[in-house]
Amino acid sequence: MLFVWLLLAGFIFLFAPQGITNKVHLAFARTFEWPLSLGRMVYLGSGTTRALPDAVSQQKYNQLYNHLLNVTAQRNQAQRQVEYLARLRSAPAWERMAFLPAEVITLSVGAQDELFINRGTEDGVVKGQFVLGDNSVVGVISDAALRTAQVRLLTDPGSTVAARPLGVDTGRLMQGLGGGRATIRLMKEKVEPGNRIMACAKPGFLDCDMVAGVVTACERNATSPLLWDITVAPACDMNKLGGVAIIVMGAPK
Amino acid sequence: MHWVRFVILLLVAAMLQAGFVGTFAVGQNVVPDLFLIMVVFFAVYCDPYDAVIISFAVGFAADIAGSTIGPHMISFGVVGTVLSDLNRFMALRKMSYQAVAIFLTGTLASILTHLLAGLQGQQSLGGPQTSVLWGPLYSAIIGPFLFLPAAWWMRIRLFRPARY
Repeated sequence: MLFVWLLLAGFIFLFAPQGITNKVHLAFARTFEWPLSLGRMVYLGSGTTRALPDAVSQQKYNQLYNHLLNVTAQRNQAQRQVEYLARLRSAPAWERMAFLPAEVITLSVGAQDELFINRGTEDGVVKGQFVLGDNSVVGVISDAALRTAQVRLLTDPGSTVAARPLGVDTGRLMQGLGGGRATIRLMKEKVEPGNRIMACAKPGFLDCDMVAGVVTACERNATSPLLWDITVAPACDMNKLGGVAIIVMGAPK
Repeated sequence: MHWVRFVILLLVAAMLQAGFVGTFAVGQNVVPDLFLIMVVFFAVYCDPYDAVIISFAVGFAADIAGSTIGPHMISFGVVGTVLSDLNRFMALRKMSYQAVAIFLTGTLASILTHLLAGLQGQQSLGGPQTSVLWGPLYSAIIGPFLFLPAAWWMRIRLFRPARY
């Protein structure tokens, strides 16, 4: 009898509205924020490797390379603005964006790719804001409580953002696949593995294109052999991500 | 059954699972599942009535520490109850048997969790073999060794004197 009651409770939880269950998750993350962060810090600390004097770690390399590509994208945008809107004054995109640092409380990569951070509505976090990790877009705020927020990673099956491979002008929808992978389907251009994927600018949330992933595979589409399906992985090592930055759009200076 | 000790153990497992176990990740992010090991431990060493409550409670904790509430609670509850009932007929006292039990329980629970997540309308396309095969296998390898500290904490005697 007890088994039946508990099973019934399980099914009630299973079919409860997502909003309620998200509140439970956020409450758990907030209540146990310190020990959860501690566990993660121990994990991150144990993963440190001895760096050679004239070399940087893979994580640092990715961070710097992403930054380089972001700056290049901004420069190109600024160049286009200079070329086509020479007489129009406008603030550079970077100056309109503020970065709110946050610590990762928990990270979940599997059926659902998401992470919890220690910033919430109290800090100005709202749904839809982009989240950066190692200078690359890693996800979007999907839910926010007072002091914690849930970030849906770009690789989550429920995530769709406009993105384009570096060097390709037209953006397409990048769909998460879960398990740390995403895909851009039906591309006209073949993209080499290793090429970076840029998240397209989104008015009010992201003012210029930013690095969002790296191409891991490019295969012909099964139904349309002239088109290509790209598999994308995050541009940074999510498991070693200690902190993130939330992009908060502000008024131009 | 020391319920306060169980709650503390469950909280510690939830916190370790959320971050620390990543230290022991192998291959493509394969980590041991402490919740699974707990379910099997209590199913083997507790009386069936307590094992039912514990299986559902551990499943609920796994859901809270994960991303959705419900799938783990049901799957761990069902497989934990079944394992506890089976344990009445064949005692799983050898470490090798316990490892096999962890692997089979983990595989069944993962399949059930995927099915329930699908029922809830969630896609679960990413790395099913990791959760169904490699994760339970990793847990099966280290699980029986974790039974010793768990038994010490829960004041459970693993080795009973043989009867002649």
